[in-house]
Amino acid sequence: MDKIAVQSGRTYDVFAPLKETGIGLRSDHYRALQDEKPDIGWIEVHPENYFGGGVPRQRLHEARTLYPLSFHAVGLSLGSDQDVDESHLAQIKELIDLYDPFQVSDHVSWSASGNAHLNDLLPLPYTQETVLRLQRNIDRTQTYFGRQILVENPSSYIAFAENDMSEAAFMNALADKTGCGLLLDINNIYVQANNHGFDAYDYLDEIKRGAVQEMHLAGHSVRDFEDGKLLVDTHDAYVCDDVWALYKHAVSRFGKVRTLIEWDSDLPPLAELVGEADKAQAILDACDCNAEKSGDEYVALG
Amino acid sequence: MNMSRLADIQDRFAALVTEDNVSAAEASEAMFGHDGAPVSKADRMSVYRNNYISHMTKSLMETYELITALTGDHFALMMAQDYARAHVPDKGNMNDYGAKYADFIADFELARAVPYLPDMARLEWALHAAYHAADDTALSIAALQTVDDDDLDRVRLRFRAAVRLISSDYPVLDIRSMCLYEGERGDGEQDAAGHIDLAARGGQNCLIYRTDGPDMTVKIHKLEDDAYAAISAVRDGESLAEMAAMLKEDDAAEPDPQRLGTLLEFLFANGLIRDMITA
Repeated sequence: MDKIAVQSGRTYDVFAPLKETGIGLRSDHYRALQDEKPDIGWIEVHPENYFGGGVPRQRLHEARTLYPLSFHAVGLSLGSDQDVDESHLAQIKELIDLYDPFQVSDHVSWSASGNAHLNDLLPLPYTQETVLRLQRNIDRTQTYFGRQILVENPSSYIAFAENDMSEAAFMNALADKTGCGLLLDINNIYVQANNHGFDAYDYLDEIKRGAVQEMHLAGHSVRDFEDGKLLVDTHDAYVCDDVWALYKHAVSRFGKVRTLIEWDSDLPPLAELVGEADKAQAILDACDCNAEKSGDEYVALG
Repeated sequence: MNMSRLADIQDRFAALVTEDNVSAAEASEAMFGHDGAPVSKADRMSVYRNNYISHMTKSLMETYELITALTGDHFALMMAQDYARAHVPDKGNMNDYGAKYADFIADFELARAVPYLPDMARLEWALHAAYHAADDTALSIAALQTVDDDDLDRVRLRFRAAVRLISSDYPVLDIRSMCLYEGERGDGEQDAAGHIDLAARGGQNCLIYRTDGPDMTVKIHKLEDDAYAAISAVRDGESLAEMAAMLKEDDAAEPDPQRLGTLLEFLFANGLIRDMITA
């Protein structure tokens, strides 16, 4: 197998993901991953967890020797009305050069306002002004990394009065204007549909084919209030039946797209996470996707 | 300065997430829309307010496990929440969050009854920082053989990024062992009731560093007062001659060259030194 030498002088196998489904790797599963070497296609981590150096990077190196790796950033704050932080970009770029991820992504959200970094994926008003702002930050990021990135649709709990387009139209506009790919989080769409009162299937049907390069599946929790409930994207549970059904629809529309199981707190044993990935793989394998794969109206600019 | 519409929204949103300001919250209501589904705007914003506090406190409580062990879940959570409200992160690297927690605890009125708590937090931060410190390379012990005894005043050492020094008037290492191994092992530091006599034990110093390779881990090495002072001096840029001068046996007029050699060998053999500079 071909090898690639990274900046540290280490070499890794060059392999495309062996199958479409992967799992988010969290520190609690480092040991189990080495011991069990589960049959998954790839792993995904938040690069921010590896800023600095030390023990986490040693563990990431060990995981990287076994699986293709994807970086899913959480701190670029692409939607902030300020430029993407240069040092944050530099730290991710350093990790890209060290671990050779096959893909890099972040979110359609913001976390920084001035010097305050709220460490959350905060909602954006869906307007032309916001599209332009995100366009600048996505362009800057893609230029800095010298590669295409994917951006993920968020979960949110409140909407802005000045919204003048749907979230799906907003996502399409970002892909059109920057050539970035889309990472569709199916659970987030389900959460949004409940929290903001729209049809999740309509959302999927509005997203252009061709731009979607990854999908996420995760569990959420329900928070009850006096006058109703909100779904909160907590990544601490199994994927629910409604989200599996929505995922089937997404697969029939977008084809055999790489899919990740995300689970961040109250982690189950690794084998159960792998079981969720297997379930997604079975849906992908059962889909007669080839007819859909060629795409239609979307033309990537990148 | 003209603020864009988006900057204004984000500025106000950030304040709503991190501050308790009812009139600001009411003034900002208009920026949010109703989109058919029930649940009030205030309840909706409460999800973000809860997220912020719970993310920050989770991060603090993972870094400062000993503080929780010593003060209990309820107290530790309350203190972490106060810190999170007072210290909004100023960068997107959460590994750096909580650097000022020891100072915060020192000023925290309700924690005054536990005088060693700030030093326990300093110890935990040093361990955390060593765990995440930048990767660099150890200078081989062979470099030590090149140092001539007559040149000690010209030789300085640079430590690797993970190395930390901690000195406390309290037996912080014994207290740490008690927290980690309570009920599992009697190591002679505690009496039958599991108490440590603070006055009798006195203070403790330690050197914290990280090993290399697949078994990479953070280690703690206990130091005598003079060894602590000598290593601190070298870290702060003093020469090996200054270091040697600090390693005297009690009442001895001259420093003990044997002790300098032993300490330097320890530093090199355990890979704590990144660079040696001869002026």
